[in-house]
Amino acid sequence: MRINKNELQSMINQIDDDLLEEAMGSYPSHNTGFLTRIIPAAACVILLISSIAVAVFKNGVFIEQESSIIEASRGVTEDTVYLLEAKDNDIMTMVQAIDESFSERNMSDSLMIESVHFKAEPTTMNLISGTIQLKDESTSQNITVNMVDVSITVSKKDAEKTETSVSENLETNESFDIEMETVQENTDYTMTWDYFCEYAESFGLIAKAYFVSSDYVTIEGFVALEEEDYIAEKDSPRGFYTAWTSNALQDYDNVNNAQLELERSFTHCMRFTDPTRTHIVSELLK
Amino acid sequence: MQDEDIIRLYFQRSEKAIKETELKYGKLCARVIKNFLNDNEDIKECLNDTYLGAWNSIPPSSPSSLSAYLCRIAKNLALKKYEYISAKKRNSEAVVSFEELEECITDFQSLDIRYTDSELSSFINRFLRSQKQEVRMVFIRRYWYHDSVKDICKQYRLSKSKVESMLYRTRKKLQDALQEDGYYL
Repeated sequence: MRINKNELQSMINQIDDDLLEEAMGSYPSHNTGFLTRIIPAAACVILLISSIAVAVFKNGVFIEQESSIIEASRGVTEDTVYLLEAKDNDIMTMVQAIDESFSERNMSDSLMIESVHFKAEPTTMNLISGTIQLKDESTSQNITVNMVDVSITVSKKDAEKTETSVSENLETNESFDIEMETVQENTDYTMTWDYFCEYAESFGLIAKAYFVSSDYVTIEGFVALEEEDYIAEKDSPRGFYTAWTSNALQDYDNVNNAQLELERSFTHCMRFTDPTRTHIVSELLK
Repeated sequence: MQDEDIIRLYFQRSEKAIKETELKYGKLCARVIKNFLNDNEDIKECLNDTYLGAWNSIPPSSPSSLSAYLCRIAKNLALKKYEYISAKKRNSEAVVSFEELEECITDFQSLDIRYTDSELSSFINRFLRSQKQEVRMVFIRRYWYHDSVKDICKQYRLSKSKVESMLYRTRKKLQDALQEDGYYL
């Protein structure tokens, strides 16, 4: 005897209490609205202060990032900090969390990606650190998202103040210089934040599939190529895929396969690196 | 306050039971009701009726899970209210989510309930317990609580496409399970 509509409804109503309880686990049952607003805000402030202090004492790598935040606090139109559990989360989860924060502030419609840098564990794709630089086309503001350990910091600056900030950093930090040059090199190509979000899951899957033998995987995406553009100008390399791994020879084929896969499926310009960046494996995409 | 203490207050006929219920489960019940009703006054009225329902039924009832018990009362009252105030108007989530689920059935003619509660209960609970926890929770949130896909995405930090494909696959599995058990011939 076939089950009918009312029986289906009745069946759903028969779900056991323990299963209902399990599913309602994440519903807010207590009146903790006040605390849920205050605690994260206070934690954000504490974490921001402590992360600056840790970065200064630990090493100089993050100094330029934090200095840009400090710079931001001097003459920035807005400077916002969000606390998220970056650690033990994969790239896709983090991208979604950032996207939610943007969406809540109606920011994601006009955001263009300038550069992306993630460092993740290859087997789990859990995030170790990351930076995303964006530009809000509607306000000409530059937005930097820094993911360090357990916090994500989003800072917004207007274009003129960023230039000042960059020139100061160039004088003091060589690595930042290189990174900015690469971004400058690719300013002709653009990628919207929404488009990036759509394919964020793929970044992790591809990297996971091809870099299981490495200790770390770093994914850097600088520009995106719309598929139509790519096909139309196939003969002219509009971007590059470059990869470094700790086992260069062993991974050579895999890297090439990864590139082909990316070429076929995503047409993103990305590069995969390990933290030491000792071996250059692939060349410019032709 | 622990659930056992709240239930004890009901048994003692202390009005504090209502206050404690409201404090602990007010938001939860309101959330369940909101998936059926849009008007704030209706939601408030339904919420008060839920507390009254608990007051009238405990004792003699002594629920093992107070939260699930309250959710059931809230859902039934909200459904009745919804059917009463809007025979023509459609509440998106409650109706849409159930329509999604209807793809699991083929009999759209008969309206009588011919299977016993225990048969249906045994089947659905066995089916859900055989699913992964995340899949099960998403399914229940969608088809029992009638949460929107957007809310589920937000709650579990999953993409819309992932939630939709998860629900689709679970519905297909449910359909297969119904067929295997002879409910879908």
